[in-house]
Amino acid sequence: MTPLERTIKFIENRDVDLPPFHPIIMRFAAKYSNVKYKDFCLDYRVKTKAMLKCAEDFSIDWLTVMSDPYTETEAYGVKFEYPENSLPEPIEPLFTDVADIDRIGKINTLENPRMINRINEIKEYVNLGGDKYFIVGWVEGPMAEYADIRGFGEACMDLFDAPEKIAKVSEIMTANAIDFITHQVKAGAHCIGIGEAACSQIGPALYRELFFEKDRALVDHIHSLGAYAKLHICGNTSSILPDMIKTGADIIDIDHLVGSMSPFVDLLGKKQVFSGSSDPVSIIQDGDAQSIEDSVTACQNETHGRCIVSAGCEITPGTSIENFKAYENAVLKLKR
Amino acid sequence: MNTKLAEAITKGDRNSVQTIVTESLKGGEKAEAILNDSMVPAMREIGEKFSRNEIYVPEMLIAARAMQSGLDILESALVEAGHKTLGKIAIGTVKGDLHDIGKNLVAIMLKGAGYEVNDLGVNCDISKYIKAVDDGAQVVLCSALLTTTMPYMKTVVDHFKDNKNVKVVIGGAPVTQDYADSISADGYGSDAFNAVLAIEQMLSA
Repeated sequence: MTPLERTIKFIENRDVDLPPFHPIIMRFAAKYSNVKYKDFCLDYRVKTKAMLKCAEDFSIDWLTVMSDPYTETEAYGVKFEYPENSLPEPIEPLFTDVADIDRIGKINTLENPRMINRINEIKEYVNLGGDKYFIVGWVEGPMAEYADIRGFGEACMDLFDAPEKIAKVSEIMTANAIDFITHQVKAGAHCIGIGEAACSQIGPALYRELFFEKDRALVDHIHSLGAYAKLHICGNTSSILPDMIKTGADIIDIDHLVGSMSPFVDLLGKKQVFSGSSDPVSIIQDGDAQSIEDSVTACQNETHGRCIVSAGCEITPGTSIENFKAYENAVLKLKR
Repeated sequence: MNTKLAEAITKGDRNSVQTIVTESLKGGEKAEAILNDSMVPAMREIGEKFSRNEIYVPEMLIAARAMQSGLDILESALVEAGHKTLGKIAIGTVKGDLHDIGKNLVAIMLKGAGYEVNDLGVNCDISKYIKAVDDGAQVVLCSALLTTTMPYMKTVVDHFKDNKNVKVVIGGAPVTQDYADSISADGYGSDAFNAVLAIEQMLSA
């Protein structure tokens, strides 16, 4: 069974040999492959080679385009510097006044270098990996993107100070994301992830009022193209998890901060799965082989086996090869 | 308690906070009384609601903004009155991390609770925390929002572990009590309100 077959069959609730292994590896992948993070972010050849090496060496079932949340942010006009070995940093002020957000408009995917680079990442995965791996593209959801442009704190206050502007900007950002999704699926992505990290902090009332319908529209569009949708909101999403499931996303990422997934698993549709939720620091980075195995097993038990093995959030670059191998082995032990 | 002032803070109505504080000072009320009888309890109520997941970050932020707008007016009056702070705290987001929401919330709540706060900003390496302690900080607060930057907290904890005059408290979205215990941090704040409680307990011990 190929990783691609395993993942698709697993989502569709068909028999598989073992649950798919989809750890979020960005800085870990760059470090393991001994490449500079700047190149990992900006050069599709560097990222795809690094991710493929990790997939081959650690029995990983997916290939992703994830590196940082700023691809669209740069397209919206925020300038970044790219340190050699850490995350991109904005060098010009974000939109410092709520009136600035009237400048946010349509962005053309094919005119923005980082967006083009993402499409090339997907094409390169198809080129190098063929039909072996589950290829996942990515877009930022409207709340996450707005927070990246405005600053998270200011964005939160804008939700109260300027809700009509937020509504207008969300429409524009959702339309832009839909266009970006289309290009990525056409390039060969089997799935598109939607990053909405900031939504775990705003509570269910604001999420439902302002962003739920936008996220659902993104999921619907992904499905209309014949692809799978993954919804990624890190942090403690307990208060909005039922809504996340209602978006219809096929894969719902669960951060370890949610705690047990048991209370929520019965809300999943027949062809929906969780992905999570081992603690990437206390368990995967700092734990031993037994604690890693126990965590992986616990996630399967909590979800009656309806859980892609992942850490819910990024594997740290400080994770040892020994521990990551133990993580891989814990997954292989789940063979059915 | 001035219930209108407290309500204005909890609702995030900074315009009303500014008006009420200004009028109260003009009316002869003491700055310390305005702060301690109405503003601090209001922020404490907000902090407690946040801890119980009755409100979330946006509501906390607009309340904190309203609180800060009142503190800005009170500051000179408090200094004139010889108001003494309860202690000196340094707070910063750790190296490699640019997130500041949690840090900013804790800083405002600490100021409101009567502490002198040295805000070190974001992306703080050990030298910033060392300088803050050299400048008199009794407690160092480390904040992180990323699993990939959390490990730097251990660097800070390890540096100050032999200094009995300094306590290190950690917090942030991915941080847990277990993690705090594993790196031998002196304290852990599960959210802004509990961070303030941890410091209050630490400094009154």
